Amino acid sequence: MSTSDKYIDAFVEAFELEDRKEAEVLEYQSIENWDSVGHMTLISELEDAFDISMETDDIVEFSSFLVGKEILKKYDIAV
Amino acid sequence: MKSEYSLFQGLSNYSDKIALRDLDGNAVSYLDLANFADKLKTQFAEIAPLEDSNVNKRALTILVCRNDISSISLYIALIRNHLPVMLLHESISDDFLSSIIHRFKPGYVLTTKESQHKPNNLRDQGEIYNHRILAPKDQTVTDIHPELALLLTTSGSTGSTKFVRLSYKNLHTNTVDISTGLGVENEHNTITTMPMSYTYGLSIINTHVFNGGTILASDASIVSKEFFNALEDFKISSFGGVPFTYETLIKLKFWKKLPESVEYLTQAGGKLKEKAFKSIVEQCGERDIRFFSMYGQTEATARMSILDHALSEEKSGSIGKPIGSGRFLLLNEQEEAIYAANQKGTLYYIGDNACLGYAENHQDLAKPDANQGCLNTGDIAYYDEDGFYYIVGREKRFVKVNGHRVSLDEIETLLSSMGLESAVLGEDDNIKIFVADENAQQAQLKELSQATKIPSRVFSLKTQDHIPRLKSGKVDYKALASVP
Repeated sequence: MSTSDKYIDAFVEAFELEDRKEAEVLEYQSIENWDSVGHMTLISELEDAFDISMETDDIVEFSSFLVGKEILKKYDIAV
Repeated sequence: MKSEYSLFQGLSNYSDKIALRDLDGNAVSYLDLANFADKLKTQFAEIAPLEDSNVNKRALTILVCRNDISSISLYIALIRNHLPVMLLHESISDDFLSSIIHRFKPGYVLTTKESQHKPNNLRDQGEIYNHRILAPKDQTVTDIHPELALLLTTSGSTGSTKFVRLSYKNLHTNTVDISTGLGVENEHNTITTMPMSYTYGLSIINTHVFNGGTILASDASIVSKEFFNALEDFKISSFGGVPFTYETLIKLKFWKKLPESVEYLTQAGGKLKEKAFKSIVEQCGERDIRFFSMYGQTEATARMSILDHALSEEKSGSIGKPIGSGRFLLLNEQEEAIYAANQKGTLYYIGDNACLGYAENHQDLAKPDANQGCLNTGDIAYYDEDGFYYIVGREKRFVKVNGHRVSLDEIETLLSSMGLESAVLGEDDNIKIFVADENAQQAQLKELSQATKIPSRVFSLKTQDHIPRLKSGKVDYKALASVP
């Protein structure tokens, strides 16, 4: 599976999305499921998928699908 | 007669000390708050009468709120002026707001500019602070009990129109007792971490304003950079959270980012998992932070008991002892009082913070005190040899989701109105929907999630051949609970 697919999968799993296309426009609190609990679920999905452990600063700055891509670069993951 | 109790009478004593701040740099002093309360009274009176010469007739104000200076100032001004107020979170839909207005016949409706609510049949009467003032065309005062101060929703999420009636005495007693129990002082700075329309969030506002502390009004999420920056920049001394707040903060390894200004933390809104509780107690111990685990409900204004921070290790899992002048009483199945340690019974609370009762429409606002200082908490509990109480179960059919009470019966009613007959069971943060209908779809859960604002991950759909029922025809929840 491509890195990009894995990245989208994490959003689909964490927020129970029905359509993968929904993921790309998501921002924190833009849907009911992306609340603080959903946020932590997303982070664990990403940590598992890419075998990384994210820093607190990166977790709290992870505010959208697009911002997340930038943050993952720090962990040498190009989405 | 006007109530002799007044929570915010002493605002001017704290003179130009800052009461409220926000992240945009706005600040409001205690004197400003006192002046604002006077201004509100004048401005309202110009629109319509606030009360009749007969003091049992007053105008109810519905305050649609968010955690900002405007909402908190308006709440304080209304309580200070002995004007009864209902708090509703700004996420409320226009339809729901309209139905509440229809039922409660308020004199004034204050909506946030951001939310742009447009309930039916109301006239725009200008603005006050960051709120719009709306008033019905035929606005009039209604019969309202002179002690009635505040209406809070029992479960905002299911669209229930049932509100808890709280008195000036309830607010005053509970605020004094909580302040003493936690040691809230005027140099304390807190940050809002929960909606002010939620009893726990509101009690933090009450105790800080009562004692001359400073509140940073913010809607910043606990998983945002803004929140952690605010803790540091505003030298926050304390904040509160429900179990999921702390479970999230632990995952975030937030201890590393907690500034030295933090003196104490509070937790309520359900029971923390043992592992999380231990981890917090340990980390707080190392950092000299006092950690208070508390127990309460809206019907008790906010708090009923506090577990003293010094005993959190020794009495882990306990809800502590009743606060201030309150006391607990355990009754067995024959409704006899239990006076022995380690015996389970239904937990009752007796104290001046026990609410007046419920209200579902404006007629209920005139009703006298239905509880006379005594509440059935709906929880099953026991006390140990040292008099510390422990909750072991729940009699009533509700669960907590993110610390907020959700009635399982109301979920059933809501699903039924969506055309899905179900039996609903659950535990905190996990609601199981049993259906015999094979056509039940995940899509209906999505609709339920949108209607209740409860994340769909909390719901799980279980298809059964049939729903077990008692001879009376009622759902046999016990049998259902044993379904794997």
